[in-house]
Amino acid sequence: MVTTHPTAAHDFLNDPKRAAWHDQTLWMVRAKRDRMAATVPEWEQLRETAARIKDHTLSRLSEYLEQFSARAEANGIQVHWAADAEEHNRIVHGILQRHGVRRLVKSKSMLTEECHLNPHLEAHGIEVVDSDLGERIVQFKKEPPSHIVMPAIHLKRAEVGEVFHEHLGTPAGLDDAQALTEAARQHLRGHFLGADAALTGVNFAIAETGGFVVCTNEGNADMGAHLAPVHIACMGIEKLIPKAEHLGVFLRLLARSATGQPSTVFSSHFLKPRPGQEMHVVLVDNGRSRQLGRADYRRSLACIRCAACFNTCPVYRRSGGHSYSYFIAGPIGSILAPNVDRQAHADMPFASTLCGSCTAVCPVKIDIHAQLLKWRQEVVQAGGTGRLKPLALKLTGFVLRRPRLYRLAGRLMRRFAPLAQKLGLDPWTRHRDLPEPPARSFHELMQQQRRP
Amino acid sequence: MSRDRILQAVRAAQPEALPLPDLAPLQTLPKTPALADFTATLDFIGARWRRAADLAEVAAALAAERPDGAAWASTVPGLAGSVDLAAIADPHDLGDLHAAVLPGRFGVCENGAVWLDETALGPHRVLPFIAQHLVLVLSARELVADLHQAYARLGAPDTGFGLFLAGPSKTADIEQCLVVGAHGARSCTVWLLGEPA
Ligand code: SF4
Repeated sequence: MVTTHPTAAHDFLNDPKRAAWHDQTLWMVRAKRDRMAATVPEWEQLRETAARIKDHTLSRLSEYLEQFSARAEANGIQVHWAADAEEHNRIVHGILQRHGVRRLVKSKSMLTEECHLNPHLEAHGIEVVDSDLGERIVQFKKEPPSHIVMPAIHLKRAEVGEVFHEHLGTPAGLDDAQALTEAARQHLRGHFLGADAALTGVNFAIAETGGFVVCTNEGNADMGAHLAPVHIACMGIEKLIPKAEHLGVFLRLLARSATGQPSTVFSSHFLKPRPGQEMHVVLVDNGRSRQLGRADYRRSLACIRCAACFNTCPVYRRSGGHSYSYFIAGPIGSILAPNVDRQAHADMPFASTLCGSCTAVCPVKIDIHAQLLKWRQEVVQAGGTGRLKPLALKLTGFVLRRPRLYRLAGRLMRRFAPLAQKLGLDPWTRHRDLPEPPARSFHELMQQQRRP
Repeated sequence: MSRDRILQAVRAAQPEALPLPDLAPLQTLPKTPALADFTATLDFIGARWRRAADLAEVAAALAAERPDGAAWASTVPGLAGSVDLAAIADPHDLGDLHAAVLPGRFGVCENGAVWLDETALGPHRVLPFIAQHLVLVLSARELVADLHQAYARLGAPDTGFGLFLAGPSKTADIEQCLVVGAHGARSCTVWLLGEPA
């Protein structure tokens, strides 16, 4: 039996103060995004253009992949192709092995998370240090990230202090963000200077030039890549864009949508390895070509991983990333996960109110909520919701078609709904209260009005 | 081979070709770069900025403000640092660098970013990341309004590495508290030389 989202959210919601903080903090990020978007009069034109560039690229992806790999190779980058996670891990390990690498620094890469690269390398005796501050924190805690842009957003300062006390020897009880960040800076500097190889993600790869762009605020990707003798950049095949000028569109959207900044601090354009350095790009399919062939879900491949849909989602904000069964949580994760394994992630498309807020903020205009609905239909048709839900819906349909029965049911509900809540029959009401039922139904009120 | 298998799978899955949108409407929006916009954005992103008539003024200010004995490197022509970058073979030796002074090609008003390519970084790409403090020197005339204008200006890339750098490194990964000075520079000062266009 798969753990459902409401069950998994239980622990998170057991701490109402933390849950409220999580909700408000992400909403604050969403509000920053709104303010930033409002400063760009052509914002909607940008979103529309970005969406169409992505649609175009996906429709000719094979040509762009060929063009990119040819140009990259001409630039002196070694290009590898991985059909699945296992092959990706094998390729990365092979490169590291050839160089006798024992210490790898890694900047944020959701792809390597998807492929479970860290445990694979660790099993081969290679130390992997995640260098993004949030990722380092969750790595110490042996937890997956709970958010794709803010990996440790589920943790409070004091908890980070405890983790650092244990792993970095900071004083017990230290919970000042500035001091904790400084401790991490010193700790990670040592790793940057001592690493034998660096691995980064890729935000955009440009077919025309064979180069790629990596965006960070901390500077960790660059610290790793420019010091180590070997740089490996791992990317899903959907990260391509045709030309360098298209970066203008995507970089204008990315940071504004993600954190409400006008730009990330560093937008690094890699084209060739530096003299004496080896640079590798690993192109990974791992189910993406399958998703490309599914017309209903194809546009999910346009995602630029800004996480705006997370920050705006009323369900994500109130349940936290760890309540989703896939490592990419939130609305976009709920579309991507069933492509990977429909059975294991059958419940994710239901962790949504279908309010459409995700679709409204998405910088590449993915019809997220419409795709969630389609997945629901598929899951239900395949019997993935169990027997209870379809039965309940049938019963509802039966009652709704019969006005008398409906009125009777309404009366019963007004009497007994508070009791059902007390018994905790509906997981949705375990941590929230139903409003007081009115004494009379709308129908009864209308009849009273009509009487003189 | 996986390459062929992946390409074949993609070819089979991709839909009929869709048109590539024209960027001209975005590229030709009537926007003019203004120094006041650029400096306002620098304020917003936590970068410092100062104006100077010429390089000599910058050099004098830097000399006066530098802590005693601090190692600093410069790639700005006509402004020598205390460290000879060409004499350093291994970038790991830059670990103790106090400050780096770099020539920016142009600034972007909408986001406060300054373009630096490999010619501005000298022999070590890691320079703007590893230094504790960053000083960028830029002509006040060299501004573009937005990233469309920026990429139009850049044209085809001509060096192996380049970046848009917007302010000091920062993080908000601990409880969303903004902390300046993550892994890269702890401060970023942009010197604007001369009068704007
Ligand atoms: S689906 Fe859209 S909003 Fe969500 S992360 Fe991707 S690009 Fe951002």
